[in-house]
Amino acid sequence: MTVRLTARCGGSAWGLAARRQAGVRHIVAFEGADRIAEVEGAGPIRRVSIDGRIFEACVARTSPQVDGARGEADYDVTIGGRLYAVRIADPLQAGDDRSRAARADGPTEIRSVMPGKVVQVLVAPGQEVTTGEGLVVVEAMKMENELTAPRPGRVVAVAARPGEAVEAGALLVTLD
Amino acid sequence: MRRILIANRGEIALRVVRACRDLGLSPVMVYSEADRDSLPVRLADAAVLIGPPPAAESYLDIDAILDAARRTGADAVHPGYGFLAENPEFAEAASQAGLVFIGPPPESMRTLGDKVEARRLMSRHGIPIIPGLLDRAADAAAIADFGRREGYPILLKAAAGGGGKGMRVVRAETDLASALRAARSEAKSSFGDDGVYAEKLMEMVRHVEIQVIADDQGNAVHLGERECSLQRRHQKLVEEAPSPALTPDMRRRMGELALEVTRASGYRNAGTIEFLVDGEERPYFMEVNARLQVEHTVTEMVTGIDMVRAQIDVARGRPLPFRQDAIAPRGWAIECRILAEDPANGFRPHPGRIAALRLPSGPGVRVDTALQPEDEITLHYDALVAKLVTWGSDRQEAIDRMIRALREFVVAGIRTTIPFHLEVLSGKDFRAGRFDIGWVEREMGRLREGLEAEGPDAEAAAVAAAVAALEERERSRPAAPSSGGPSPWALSGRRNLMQGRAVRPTWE
Repeated sequence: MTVRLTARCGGSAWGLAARRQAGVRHIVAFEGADRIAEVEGAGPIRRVSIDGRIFEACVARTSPQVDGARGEADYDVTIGGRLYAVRIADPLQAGDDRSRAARADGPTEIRSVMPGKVVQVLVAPGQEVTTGEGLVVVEAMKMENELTAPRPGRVVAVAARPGEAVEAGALLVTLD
Repeated sequence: MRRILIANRGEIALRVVRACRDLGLSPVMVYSEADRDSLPVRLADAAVLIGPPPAAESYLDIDAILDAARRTGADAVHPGYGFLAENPEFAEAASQAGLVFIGPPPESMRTLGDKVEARRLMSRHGIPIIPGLLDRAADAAAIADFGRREGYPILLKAAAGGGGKGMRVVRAETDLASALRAARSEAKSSFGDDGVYAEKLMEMVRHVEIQVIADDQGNAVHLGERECSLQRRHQKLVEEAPSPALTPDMRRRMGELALEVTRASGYRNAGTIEFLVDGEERPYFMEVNARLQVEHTVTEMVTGIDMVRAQIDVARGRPLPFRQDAIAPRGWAIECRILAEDPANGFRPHPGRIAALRLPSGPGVRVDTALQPEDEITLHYDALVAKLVTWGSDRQEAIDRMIRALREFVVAGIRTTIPFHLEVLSGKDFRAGRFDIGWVEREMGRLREGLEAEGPDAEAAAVAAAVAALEERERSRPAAPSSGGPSPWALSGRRNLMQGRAVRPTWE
């Protein structure tokens, strides 16, 4: 059984065809490039051969599950101490990108860049702020980080609460 | 001394467990709920749960720790680094509970722990210090005045601080208020004391520190220097011993200065005297770390001295077993601090579960880590997951071995600083010993570009490995999953994909 997929890694994108052979061996052919990879082994650490050269690749899935809506799955692959972020996509569902790009200029959302704890909220709704002014202090791994206004504006909403735990990407403050 | 309670976690707790085993002493652990199944807990003779994951409710709970010592019959306590290691109240409470505290006396901890007090003491003894305020309760006006007088940039520092916490660089007076607020708040939450003072920011300087150890009989020796200039936001990333920047004459002078500091502060046990060294080879006293340090490993590798064993021996009243003239560093050692941080994204913390782990080994390689597969790296504690140390007969060999070991090191499930270290160690500047404390921040743009560049074949290999993993995952999924709902990819998308389009694999 052969499947076709597309994948991105670093600055490159590939169309590829994958087929499983007996046991735990996979053959992956890269379209448009004269390149075939053989993958051996099960578990997180696998051996990959390309043109006789061996790479040892350690694979960990980073998206919690295959994202059906977008048809994408993300992996962190490490080879020789280097990290390669790989996104594998189902090409039939790729049209979805356009709707997400449609978002126009509008309110600016200040989001937590990491999971952590809100230590301090420095602004209130209605307050005018200037570029670089402190909005919220978030603590993670014992370091405090002050999130500042990326542009001047008025605070329209404050979602952050002192003492509250926040996930990466959590909305903290909205500027008009 | 028979049984030592270890008031810490992670790699340093394991380091002390191992020292206990080497000395025929019995190690006892305390642990939080997050560390139930950790390696140091498994390898100890006894272990006591002291609270939930947040450090304030476990590893910083003095009463709970002393109660654990009493219940397990411990007669000494080793604090490791961080947590209560430099807390004089803990050292005093331990003594009052009849425990030997393996560390400096509380009085010298108290003086040196207060950065301003330490600066005053050194200044009185004629030891050169970094220009700055000698007032621990400096208010905003006094700091602004200092900035105008000395010129910006200046560095705000927590009087009670250490480890880069409560520190902020201020480059212009307009940034002072916000930086001061952040420094005070961080100082308050890290040390329970919001006292902040200001120093002139020293740039294009190196961070060189001297390891000392003193016993109860009045003997004090230094174990040479460590070069710790490769740091980011005052957090050390790579350390080495010796320093590629010191001449034999400077090494001798700084060793003597460090011993003067040791005597001036009535210090005992192991400690580190940190200096900044400017382009004219002038050292400036920065601070004393009144504890065992993370990077003690590189000193151990070049001197052959087991620092934790020496600490324990000194604490039980034995004289130092070595004299100054017998200490001769041999070869070169380098340490990379492997952190659960993503260097490609501003060193953002990257917690997660360790899905796979393979530690490097072989000639000249030492790994200090408590990591085990399935361990969860949480945000409750610092991001250090392993210390990778290599030794070589010279600096070049130590670097080559480090590169080899970094390439062998596999940790899956979290992002780590391994790619960053590989990029730094492979560069010309590191090879030539050409860097200062600002190097990482200045070079970060270039370093970031190099983090992934290893050629198209490696990228293709990464893609192929990910595809294989995805294929197995999809194939092993039952056709009608009993829970979690069907995978849209497995049930529909894939079927459409395969049937709706012509497939022309290149191998057919």
